Amino acid sequence: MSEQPTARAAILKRIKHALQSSAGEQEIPQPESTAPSTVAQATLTKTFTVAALAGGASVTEIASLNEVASFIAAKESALPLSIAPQAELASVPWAAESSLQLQQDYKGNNCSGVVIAESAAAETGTVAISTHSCPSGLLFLTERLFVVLSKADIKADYEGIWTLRAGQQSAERPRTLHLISGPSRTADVEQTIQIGAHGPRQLDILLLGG
Amino acid sequence: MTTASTQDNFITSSDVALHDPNLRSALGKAQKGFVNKRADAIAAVGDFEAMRDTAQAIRKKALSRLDVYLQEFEANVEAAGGHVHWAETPEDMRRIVKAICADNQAQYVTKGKSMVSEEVGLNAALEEAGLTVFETDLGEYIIQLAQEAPSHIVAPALHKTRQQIIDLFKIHHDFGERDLGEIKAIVDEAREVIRERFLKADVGITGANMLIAESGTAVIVTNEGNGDLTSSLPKTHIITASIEKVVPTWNDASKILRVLARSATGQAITAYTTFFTGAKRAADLDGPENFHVVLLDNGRSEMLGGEFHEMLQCIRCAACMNHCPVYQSVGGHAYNSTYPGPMGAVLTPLLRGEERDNLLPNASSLCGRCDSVCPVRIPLSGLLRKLRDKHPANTRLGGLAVTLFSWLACRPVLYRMVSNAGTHCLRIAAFGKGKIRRLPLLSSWTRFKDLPVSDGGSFQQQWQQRRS
Repeated sequence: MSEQPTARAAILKRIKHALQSSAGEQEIPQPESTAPSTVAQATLTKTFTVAALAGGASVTEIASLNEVASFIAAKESALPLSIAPQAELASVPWAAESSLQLQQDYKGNNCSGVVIAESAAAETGTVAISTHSCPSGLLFLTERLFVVLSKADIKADYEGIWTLRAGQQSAERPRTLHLISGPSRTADVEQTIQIGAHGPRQLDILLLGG
Repeated sequence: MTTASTQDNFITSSDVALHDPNLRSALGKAQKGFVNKRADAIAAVGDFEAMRDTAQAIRKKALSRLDVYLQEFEANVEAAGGHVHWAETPEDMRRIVKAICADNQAQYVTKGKSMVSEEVGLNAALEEAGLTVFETDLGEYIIQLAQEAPSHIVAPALHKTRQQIIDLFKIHHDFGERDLGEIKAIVDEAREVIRERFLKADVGITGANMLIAESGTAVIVTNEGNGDLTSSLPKTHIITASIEKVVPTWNDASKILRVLARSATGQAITAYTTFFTGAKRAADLDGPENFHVVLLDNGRSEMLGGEFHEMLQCIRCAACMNHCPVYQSVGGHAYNSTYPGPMGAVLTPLLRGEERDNLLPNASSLCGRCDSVCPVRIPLSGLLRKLRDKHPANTRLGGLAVTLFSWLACRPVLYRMVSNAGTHCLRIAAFGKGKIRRLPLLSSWTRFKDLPVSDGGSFQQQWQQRRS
């Protein structure tokens, strides 16, 4: 790859030359700035719920984190459960649900997964989870994904999610930020939507908080 | 991979397409879906026109300082533990990716959908180098089995019928006798086959829908989840992207996201939108140890600042081809290019520039639907006209006819006399039937339909009568 600096210099030189030649000819419109959102939390929750349902997720309100284990046990006892390595989830009374079979490995047999979202965007019912708190494999190799979301973490829009990391240097940011807005799907056969292409076939969002 | 011979051009290929019953069936099922879903998605938001204005402004801003944003992107990728490579040509990109694979002793490569990798013919190059390449997007996987090129930039296997896909799976998957009649059965079988490939891949290659300069982040927009597994499970993640994909900030990226999925698939957002910034961090439980971004120029820097500059605003949503009556009739393979439809008819002559590509700008009725749906307001029909002017496709006789018409049209009195006389002659030739079945010099018209003849004089005569 010894030609790299040459290619880089040549490409950048052509770009600079092209932009200098056309400078003054183009009027560059400025994109509108984003005003901070002041929407009430109840409205955000409602908007988020409507959008998440439209995206194919299920949405259920729970009163406390302790209810997560019983909810999953009631909904999905056939598959073993892989739990994201998050401190809050460690405090959930999993052992109280005898029907739940817990397993660390999500790469082997079919299993479901549970994770706490870091934030969410109401505008499209989207949850945000990064590799700072959960491995990507758990989010995509599981058959069914349960996502716990605190209502207080719902932002109005994507820009609200970005502000959580505003000013961070590149190396401080997570390697991967996943925005998830529904179960895995494909329309590659006759343009007909089929759920469950490669990722989870079901996405269940548990809304936490009063 | 099926490639067109040098004799293939749009006219010969579209003739084949128009007589392919499987293609007619597949296109018939696909097109209304795209158009209707987009219309529904746009109706559901308050002001999509304002979203288009904003997205256009961001793309213009990004291109106006492209060198600055690319260098900012590069510096931030490296700060996050990644590497940026620059490829002037398709050959450069193939060589760089092969070298990265060799450096990592790779044997198996998984790939997410990347039109840039199709543009440079990456799969064939990797296979020649002895690597096993697994496409993981279902559409790309289907056409890999069929050894064909994509026919659509969002739905690569759009041209395949369900039965053709079933036949391919039965040939290539050793699962014995089973019923694949339901789409769910097809998708489940692909899921099972491809899952083990994700787990054993040494290198994962994806494209990028955007590159964010302020943090050195690459963005992919998917529905299947294959891009996330391709990028997260192998030890090495390579992104193949073209230089114009950069946007300055995360806030800019979100404005593009708001128009991208709505224009492409009619979704408010795709199931998965993923942002990659560098290599695996020390505390991460998975992710690639090596992160490479290979930036392709291949003629784009020469388009910058010129009369086709606006084409670089394209965000690859495919709305233009989904709404194009020509694409809807002949599908993508007739264009003999990675990029079909109106955007491809502009881009291909500029990027590839083969003699046969000069016909592509004529693959348009110039109805303007592409202009009206483009989320970043690229004046596609205007760009097609400019390209037509550069390479007129008329025959000598046709060129003479256009010249004669131009001369006549500039002389209103003479034009009126000639058109009145012509209408009169046609009426005589029609023997009062109102149509002519055969006409010298117009046999390519009358072969397919009758030539209607006015029974009320020329257009100008009728216009005068209505005004008086």
